[in-house]
Amino acid sequence: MDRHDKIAISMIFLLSLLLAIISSIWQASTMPNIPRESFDIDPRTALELARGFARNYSDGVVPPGVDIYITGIQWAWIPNNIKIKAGVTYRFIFMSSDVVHGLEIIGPKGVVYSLMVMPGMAYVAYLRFDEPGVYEIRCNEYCGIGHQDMIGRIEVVR
Amino acid sequence: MKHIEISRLFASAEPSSAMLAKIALILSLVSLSLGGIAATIVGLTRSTLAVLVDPLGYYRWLTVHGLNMLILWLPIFEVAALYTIMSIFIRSRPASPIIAWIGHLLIITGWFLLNWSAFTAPPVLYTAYTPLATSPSFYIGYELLSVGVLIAGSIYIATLIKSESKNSLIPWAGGVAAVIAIATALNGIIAFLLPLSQLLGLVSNSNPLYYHWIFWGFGHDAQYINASATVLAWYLLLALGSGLALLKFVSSPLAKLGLILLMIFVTPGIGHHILVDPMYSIIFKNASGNIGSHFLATGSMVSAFSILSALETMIRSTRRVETLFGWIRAIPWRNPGFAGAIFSMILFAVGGVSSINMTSMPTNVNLHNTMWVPGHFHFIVAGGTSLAFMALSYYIVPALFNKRLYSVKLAIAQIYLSFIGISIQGSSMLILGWEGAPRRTYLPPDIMLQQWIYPSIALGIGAIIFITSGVLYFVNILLTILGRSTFNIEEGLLEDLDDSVNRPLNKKGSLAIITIIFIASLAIFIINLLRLSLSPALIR
Repeated sequence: MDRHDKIAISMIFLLSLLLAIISSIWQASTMPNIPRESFDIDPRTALELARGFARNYSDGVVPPGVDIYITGIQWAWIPNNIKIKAGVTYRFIFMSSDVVHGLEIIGPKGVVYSLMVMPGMAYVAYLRFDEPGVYEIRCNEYCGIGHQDMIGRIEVVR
Repeated sequence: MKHIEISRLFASAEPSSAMLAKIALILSLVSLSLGGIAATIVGLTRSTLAVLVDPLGYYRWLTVHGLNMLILWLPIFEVAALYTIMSIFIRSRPASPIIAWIGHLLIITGWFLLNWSAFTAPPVLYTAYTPLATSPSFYIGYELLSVGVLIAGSIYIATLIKSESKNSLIPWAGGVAAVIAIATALNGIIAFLLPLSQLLGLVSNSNPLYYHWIFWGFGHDAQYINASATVLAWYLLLALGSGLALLKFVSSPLAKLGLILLMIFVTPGIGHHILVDPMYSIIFKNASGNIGSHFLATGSMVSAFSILSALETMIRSTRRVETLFGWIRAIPWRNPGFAGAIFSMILFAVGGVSSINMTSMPTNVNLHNTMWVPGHFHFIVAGGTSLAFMALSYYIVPALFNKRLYSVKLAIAQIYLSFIGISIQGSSMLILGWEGAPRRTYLPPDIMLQQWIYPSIALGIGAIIFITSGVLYFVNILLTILGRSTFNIEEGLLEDLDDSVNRPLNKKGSLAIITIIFIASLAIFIINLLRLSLSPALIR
């Protein structure tokens, strides 16, 4: 190996190292990121919690301090329409009641926040939506032939 | 002179390994054509240019497409490539012909079971994430295929160890591909036992988390048999295209380092598939997904540099070029070997740069399961790997079947059209992903967001161009196999380079290309991080 080979190899390893370091620092911050908390839950309980939440908060803005349960079922999100306040941190619990779903929140500017939800497991995320507007929730993991119909809405109001 | 050298190389092929290669080659080409038919239906429907099927039809054809392209065409072509190397470069019978034939029988049976289930059972796509379930024949097909690939890889290693040529570059590189094939097959055997034993009532419940992890041990490792085989195909294409002159310019330690790196990081690197799964600790995700996966790129980048610098020094020493990039213009662009290898490397590099945003946790949240993912791997496997394999078969098919290539012009047309088609299609997919379009989703116009409409149409146009090039490829290959003329290496396939001239070695152009990739990777990653401030903030 000559000098050019050695320079190339060093550059390639430096690139991988830089990328690993930047993302490690980022994930220690409170910037948009992967939730750190999850727990076991029975799929039936997951469905009951989400249905209960949908019954109580189908109209009006979810008050700050109330936990928000969102559960995927073939082929819908329960609840499929909620209103929350911009700039307020809510505790979200994302779950599935049957198969693996992909929870994808698409913001008004097309920016995505995406998590896998699996039966038997619950994701806990303390999220704050700063940008008011309509966010869509879609399923982005194939879950059967009605997969494309899983479309819900989160309306973020001032 | 060169013609005689190459013709002699092919003429001394060992017949029993060549027969195994031929069978695998035909089966892989059947998979490619089936996957291509499915691609037409899925591509036209997804782009809304012509909505040909309903959701059930869409997911069924998508299963057929993914299965035949990713799981059957590529690994089975690699089995063919290993037996071809065994036949032409090692010139040896398989270490155990009987076991080798049993392996082939398993691959063929697995192939039929998988395709039969894909067409008849409930569609679960080729990933078949539990608890979604389909017919047991689907998982049994996967098991048989995995064992068959395991056998082919092991036979290659056993043959290589006994041979005298085990340290020369091409047989050695085949060894790396074989080791990765064995790792892949082992993961596959374990992964599909989980849903299979649940269907047969042996266990009551299989954890979707474990299946997701081990499946990707199979699914992603399988793409690294591709990566190592693609690197091997680049060496072979440039070597055959230049009448073996290239091999004099390859730095053997550098080439072997690149391949070894691919092998080392392949299994730790699969962690990026579980970055947004629940339950795993952040430390585990960081170690495997983030750090391990970022180093996955080192193998293909070192290999790319090794090949580029060999090409650059070869061109510089045979043609008078002084400037930094002048050697690129001096490359014989009308030779299928050179054009195929270089277009494939460009597409592979674009795919590689696009992968950076998915192997890091914060940006994965942004792009996970969006169209960015198929955009990335269409650049890598449809552009990089398939284009390299198609170009390589213009050399291998005539040699194995003792026929003359039907048309060199048609071959060149296919390579250029494929490059244009996949560039348009892949870029459209990346744009769709950036705009949040979910992957693997039937999206008729009424449920499409406004910003997805035009990139979807562009995707369809790119797909039509790419599929057209695929038809040209099949016409050329079929007419070659059915043709009457006997093997004779065509004029246009071989470049007569006068490699006796010696000028000082200069790799500055290749170094500049690596620098461009370095900057592009960092730039796209940082742009993605900055854009993340638009998504909801995670407070705790």
